Amino acid sequence: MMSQTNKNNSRYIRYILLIFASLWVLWPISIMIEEGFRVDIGPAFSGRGASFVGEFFQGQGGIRFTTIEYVKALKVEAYPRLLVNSSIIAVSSVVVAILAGLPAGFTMAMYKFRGKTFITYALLAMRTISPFAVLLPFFLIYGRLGLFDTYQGMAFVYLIINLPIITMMMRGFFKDIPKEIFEAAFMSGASDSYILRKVALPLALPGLAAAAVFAFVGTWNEFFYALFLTGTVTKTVSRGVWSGFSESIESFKILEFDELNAGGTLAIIPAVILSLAVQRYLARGVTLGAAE
Amino acid sequence: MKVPYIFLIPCLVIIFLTLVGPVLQSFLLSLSEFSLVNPSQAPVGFQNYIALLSDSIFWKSIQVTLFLVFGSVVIEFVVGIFLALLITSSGPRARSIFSSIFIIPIAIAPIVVGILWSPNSVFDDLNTLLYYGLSLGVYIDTTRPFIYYSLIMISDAYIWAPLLMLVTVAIIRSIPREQYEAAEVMGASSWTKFNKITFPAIISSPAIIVTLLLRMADAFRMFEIPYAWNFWLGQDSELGASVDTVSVLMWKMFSSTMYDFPIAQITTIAIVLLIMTLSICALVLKRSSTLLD
Amino acid sequence: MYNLVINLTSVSLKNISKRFKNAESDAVSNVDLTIENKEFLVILGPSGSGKSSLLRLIAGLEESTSGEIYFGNELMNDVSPRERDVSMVFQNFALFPNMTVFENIAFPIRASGKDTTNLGDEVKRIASLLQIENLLKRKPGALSGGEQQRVSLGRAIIKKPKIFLMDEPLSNLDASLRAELRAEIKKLHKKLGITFIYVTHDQTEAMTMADRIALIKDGKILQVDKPEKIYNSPNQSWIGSFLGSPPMNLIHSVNSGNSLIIASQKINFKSSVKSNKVVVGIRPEKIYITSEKGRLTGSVLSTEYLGDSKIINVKLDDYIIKVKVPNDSVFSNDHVINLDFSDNDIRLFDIDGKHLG
Repeated sequence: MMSQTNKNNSRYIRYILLIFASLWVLWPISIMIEEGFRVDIGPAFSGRGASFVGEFFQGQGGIRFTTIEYVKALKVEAYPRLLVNSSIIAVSSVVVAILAGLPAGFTMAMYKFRGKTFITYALLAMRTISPFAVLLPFFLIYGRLGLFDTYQGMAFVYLIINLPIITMMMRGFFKDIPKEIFEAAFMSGASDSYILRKVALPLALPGLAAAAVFAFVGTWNEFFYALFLTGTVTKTVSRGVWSGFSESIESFKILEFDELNAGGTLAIIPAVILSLAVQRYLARGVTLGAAE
Repeated sequence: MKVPYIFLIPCLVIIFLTLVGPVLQSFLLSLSEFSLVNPSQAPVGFQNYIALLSDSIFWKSIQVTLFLVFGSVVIEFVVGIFLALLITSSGPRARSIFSSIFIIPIAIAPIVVGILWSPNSVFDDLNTLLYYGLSLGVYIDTTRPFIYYSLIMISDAYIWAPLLMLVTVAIIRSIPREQYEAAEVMGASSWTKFNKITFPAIISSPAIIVTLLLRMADAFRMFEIPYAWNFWLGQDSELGASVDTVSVLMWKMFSSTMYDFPIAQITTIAIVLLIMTLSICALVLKRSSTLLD
Repeated sequence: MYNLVINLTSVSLKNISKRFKNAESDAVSNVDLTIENKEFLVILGPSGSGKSSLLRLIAGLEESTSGEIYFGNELMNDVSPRERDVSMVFQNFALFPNMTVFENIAFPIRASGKDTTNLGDEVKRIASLLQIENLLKRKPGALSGGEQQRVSLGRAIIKKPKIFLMDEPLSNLDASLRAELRAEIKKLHKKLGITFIYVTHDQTEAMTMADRIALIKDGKILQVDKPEKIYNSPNQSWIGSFLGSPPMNLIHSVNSGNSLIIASQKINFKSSVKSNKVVVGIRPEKIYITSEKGRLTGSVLSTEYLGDSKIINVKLDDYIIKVKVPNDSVFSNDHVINLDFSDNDIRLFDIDGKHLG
């Protein structure tokens, strides 16, 4: 009887903690969503609620709820264009990464060969490298080749993110298939490309979908390269969320905060939905399969 | 068995074009005096590196970065274990619902997290609550460096603690149930079970070590959150500000009109940072049980 | 003149060794083995003995560290498994789960780009040979273990290989299915008339199917012989104790050339063996209990009932030997009994376990 009560108590505590942790996760997001629904009435009351800057406490502003920022984001301003840009760049970059990474991942899963350590190391390095270590060469070369602020230039630079994800995740998915299946195929006289097309790929198709989605989200969320290499033509959503939907970079700070939040909300929706769809593979994606 | 090397060629080409080539060029640039006022890219030796070693702003940013790396990774590790314990001790329904909620931050762009956790977003509400709601007359002054650093760590942990949770959950679920049953038969408390079974299993797992190493490598290049916060604190043009991570420092040198676009110096810092990253990658490769087989 | 008669189907291994990366010892160590044309050779050994590695070396799935592999008189070391003209059947069936049974069986023909005009008939013929013609449209996931292994046999047959390799093909199956498939594989061997190399840890499979058994332990081939020969005349005491259930009795004893002292009891035994210290090996079923004066006397320690027979554990001084008797024999514990055997059934080993004489 006593232990039953204890058990129930610990269950309640656990649920309270779980709900508390969920609030912790959702709270900032809900603030962002809600901010997007607000607009400050006038400059005299700028800032929402109470606000602290340094030692100074600032008074309340008059606030009313409105969907205007969302409507503005989706209709009036260049926001839909950002979504389209991000999609074009991410999809084309992921497709190229699949074309290159799929056969490479297959070979790394199936064979031992000289240089495998190098490729693995290089892919890990691409995954972890500070963008500044490659940014300036890209900056100079893109300037020379006219690739600055172009779709193909952005799709190419994002291979740094996508190639390791696709190659290493696919390598892991191929490794998950019992190796005797491939040996049976070898012994049957099948060529590597036949095995890849008819045996390996059909079996790893859900994995490929997960890897592609994961790479897409990674590109969608990327900010750094977008900050330096995009301009008015190919500006992506994660950069646009930051710098505002109008083209003025400095105008967001106080004046456009609601807009920033409306844009941020819209930007994370596809990323969150896609990530939840592939949540089983999130850890594999982030660690390139090292954490297994 | 004949290795189909042709399958590796596209991948290798991309590796050379996006990684090896640019890194080599960065290295060459770091040996030059290249900047807006000096267009020569000819190597002149290691003088940038020598100058860097005695540069107090650089060391300051290294200090800030190391502090943030250490703090965020520790918070992520602890919170990750905590969440994993909550998740694994719940029923299947609760497990799937709550773990779905917890991983949402991984999907959010870091720059958006920078906005989410900005001082005038979350902390305004919290401060209103503290100052007025609870009539405590206190508030969190987000401009004080210690609070500021802590909040950046918490923002980073907000994104990445769920990753540690995922990895830890996988480890906990791989511990044989018999170990816990045996402990229960011997009358062990929950704490003893955690201390003697769960925790040793977690820290001896290559998966957690590799994940922590990769998180460290990521935290070394931490950019978006401190970058976003720079603006709110009005430190966006000041070199050596209290929140400059190495990446933010490079960005300031790159974008500020005050410094003649000093490419040689920026690449020097980038190469130093790269060496740290590459060493961590080497450790990852060594410790991972799965990457090279 | 060129020798135009190339016997492609015999397999010879010349001093083959394989050491895996980071391993402390050889998985396969200096193996010399010739498998005759159309022979059914079983490689038998305990787990970890290197038997699968040896098979994979023959298949070409592993590269040898040293030594040569010939098919007929053609050196195969650098020939890829695709071109070796061998088929292999795996313990876990290794069927392609995304394909139907028909597609699985047809795979080797389609994959190697051979003529597919009569493929449908050919697949059906093989399926009926293996009694799976009504399963052709199903996927492997919907089949029982036995059916899956039949499909994988079919996939191996359609290639018309010169050599058929099997790696523990029955180990994942139930006991009753095993007996059934054992007979069928044997039949298949007769029908196809090609060389079979079959790896197993199961001595019943080895005894029932093999033309010859190659016994392997720690990567070394210990003996290659016909089943009767390897059972009755093991050339190492370890083989005696590995084969047979219960295993061979092994007793340390003293040999004088005219007599043996077994557990303090002296028996007459003429042999040409010179060594003084020997190990006497005798199979439990070769010892019989006699009411007359036997050569050895011991007391019954315990009895194990096996169904078709009984095992009597007899205490002889410090030794316990096992005697296999008919299942209706009754012996009470501590009963003193006389044991006898024929001299021909005694096998002498030196103390390191090597056969003497």
